Amino acid sequence: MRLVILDDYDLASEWAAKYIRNRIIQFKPTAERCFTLGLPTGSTPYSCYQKLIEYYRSGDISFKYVKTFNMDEYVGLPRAHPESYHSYMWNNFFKHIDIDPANVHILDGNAEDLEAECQAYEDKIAEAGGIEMFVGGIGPDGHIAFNEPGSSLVSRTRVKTLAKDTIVANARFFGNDLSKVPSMALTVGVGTVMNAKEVVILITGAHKAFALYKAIEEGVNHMWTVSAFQQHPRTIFVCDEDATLELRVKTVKYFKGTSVLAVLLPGLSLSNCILCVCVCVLDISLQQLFQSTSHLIGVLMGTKRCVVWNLGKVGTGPTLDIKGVCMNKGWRCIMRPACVCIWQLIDCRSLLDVGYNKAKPCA
Amino acid sequence: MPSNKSVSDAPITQFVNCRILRGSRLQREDLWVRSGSILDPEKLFFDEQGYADDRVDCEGSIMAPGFIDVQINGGYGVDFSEASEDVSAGVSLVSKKILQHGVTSFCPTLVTSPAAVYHKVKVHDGGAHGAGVLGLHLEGPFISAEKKGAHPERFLRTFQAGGIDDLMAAYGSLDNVAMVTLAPELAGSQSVVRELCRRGVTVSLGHSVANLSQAEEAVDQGASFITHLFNAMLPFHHRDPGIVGLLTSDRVPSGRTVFYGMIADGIHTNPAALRIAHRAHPEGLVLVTDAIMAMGLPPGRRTLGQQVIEIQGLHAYVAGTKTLSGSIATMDTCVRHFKHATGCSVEEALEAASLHPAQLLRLHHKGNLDYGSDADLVLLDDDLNLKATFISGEEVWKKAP
Repeated sequence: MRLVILDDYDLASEWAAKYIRNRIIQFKPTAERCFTLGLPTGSTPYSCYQKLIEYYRSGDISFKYVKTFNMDEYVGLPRAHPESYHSYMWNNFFKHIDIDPANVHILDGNAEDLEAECQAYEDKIAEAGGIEMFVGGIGPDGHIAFNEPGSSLVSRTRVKTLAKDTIVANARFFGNDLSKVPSMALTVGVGTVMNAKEVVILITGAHKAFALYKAIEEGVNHMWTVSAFQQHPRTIFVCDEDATLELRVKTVKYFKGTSVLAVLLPGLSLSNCILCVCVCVLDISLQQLFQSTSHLIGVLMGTKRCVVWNLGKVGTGPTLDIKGVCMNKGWRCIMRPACVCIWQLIDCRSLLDVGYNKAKPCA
Repeated sequence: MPSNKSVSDAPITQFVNCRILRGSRLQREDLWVRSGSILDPEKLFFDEQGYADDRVDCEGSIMAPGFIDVQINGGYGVDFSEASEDVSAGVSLVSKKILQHGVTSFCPTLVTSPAAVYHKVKVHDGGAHGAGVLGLHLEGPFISAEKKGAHPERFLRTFQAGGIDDLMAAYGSLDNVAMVTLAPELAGSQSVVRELCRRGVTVSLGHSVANLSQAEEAVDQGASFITHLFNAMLPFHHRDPGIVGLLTSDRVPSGRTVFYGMIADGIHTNPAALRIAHRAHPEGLVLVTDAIMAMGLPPGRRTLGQQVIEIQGLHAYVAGTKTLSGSIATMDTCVRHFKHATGCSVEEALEAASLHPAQLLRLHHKGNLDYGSDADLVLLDDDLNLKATFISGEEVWKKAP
């Protein structure tokens, strides 16, 4: 598992959105080979969707060849109801982007035969070639989608009765009237999500901290269904500081230490970069690295290892003039403080994993 | 992409980059139109898996429902009340010209005239040819002699024997009539009000010396509008507010609203009076132009109905007097002036010219941008200057660059 810890909700959302964006770009989806994306709803991914819309508007990404499969939908709620997950996805995502409506799949909670609907959904996922990346959230009771405590860890898409915790958590969307919250939902199973090639779980807020602790620091347990992803080969948990409040300091330090920083110079956009070479450089002084103007510099936090990328031509863009970078966490400030740059994470283990952390000016 | 819309193959237009007036707020939303009606894009997306065929970039403009003018006597040299061979040509000319003022539907108004003049003008939809005709507004002849304003006295009438029969004798037919203005203090008028409402005609009170109870009685019988508030009626008095008192009357049946027309040209009503009315009863305010044939023409002497009038700048008087004859302000000018004088919000100003007149005439598919409504729209800049007018989703006028 990867645990990526960002300072706050906005940064966590931005990281996740950039990750999703870059994955889609890297995949190079076409009409014959769509990128299948599993999607969540709720307040946690809201900002992530906003960011993805931003990237679409600025031309960084197109959703034309992206197929989406939502995790769940309430049973018996009219599709046009403002709290239905259809409405959520339309208002917060689909209406702002260029996705083909035929590529959008959301479970129909008003279907005549709910079981047939669930089976058909599984078939559609299989037809689409499986899910490339499933994005999800976590409930305060540790559930993924509506796989409430006690759900089989190999379950498939099915009808579920919602747990009290979930109904209480969702009441705020129904005027705090518990009786108005639907009591049943259609949901993808834990097994369905486990079948995805990659899973990204977004967890933000102190109220999710205990669930995160149970999910990653305790055993695999059907009472905390997210824990099933301990057995998935490629899961990333993206969280903010608050969500880590119940974790052991050791866990947090370990995962923070493995993140990589890189400078993305002002004026330079992702599309201008040409990644050519990834080189691990050990124990070279920062001074020498920063003198070079044709490289993006990456620094492994907590260690002295650096990663260097050869940038290549940027065309008529601004020249790569590294003014200097100021960091905390034990690094000596060797240059005057520069502007706060957006940092793009590049992991030398897998070239195109992306994420970031914001540099702080040193005291 | 090939068409895969299940409901209809008609092209779908998506207006992007606009702030639409919906739910009394300006919202940053796209507006979707198909076959002249506003479409629910969410239904289109999920039910039909449909998408837009064309996109119109509104460049950040405000998008409001098209304006509805329920009191307009003519313009551009055309006087609706003048007996002529070719009535429809005159109405067509005006309907085409007022598109540039943002008016997409209107009620051609006929002032007190001899019986022969009440010819028929047909109700018809708007389009590239001009704004839609919702029906005639018959202002008089059953009005008060003391408050005739510019109406010629010799043609005024009263209800003699049969009430509604007198009315039918005067007008000929009520087909294509949307509204009638009468004075409720006239004997026999209450049964006429009742009968007109029963037939679906909106009844308006005006050119009258009625006191408040007579006015309230008429509202009880179904009257729902006041013709140009303050003008041609008794002034507000604190012990008998007269027709003006309807704005705050507690005898208006619940669930009903009394609407009132205001000519917000800065001349017919002092801005302070406009503010008093607006603050007392904002939901009932309907902007009207009461424009006369001289609207759109250069200054000088002209004929209105059976009288001669004189235009001086923005004022139009009965020739040789200081009696106001009607206004020559355009609807969009009225909207801007109304907003400026009352300090109301953009949404309120726009609703006074679109939603309220539609509510008055009980037209649910006009005056709003809800799903299923007619796509009669105007695009405006932040100062409420018109940029373009659309009827049924088609552009019918655009401001020259």
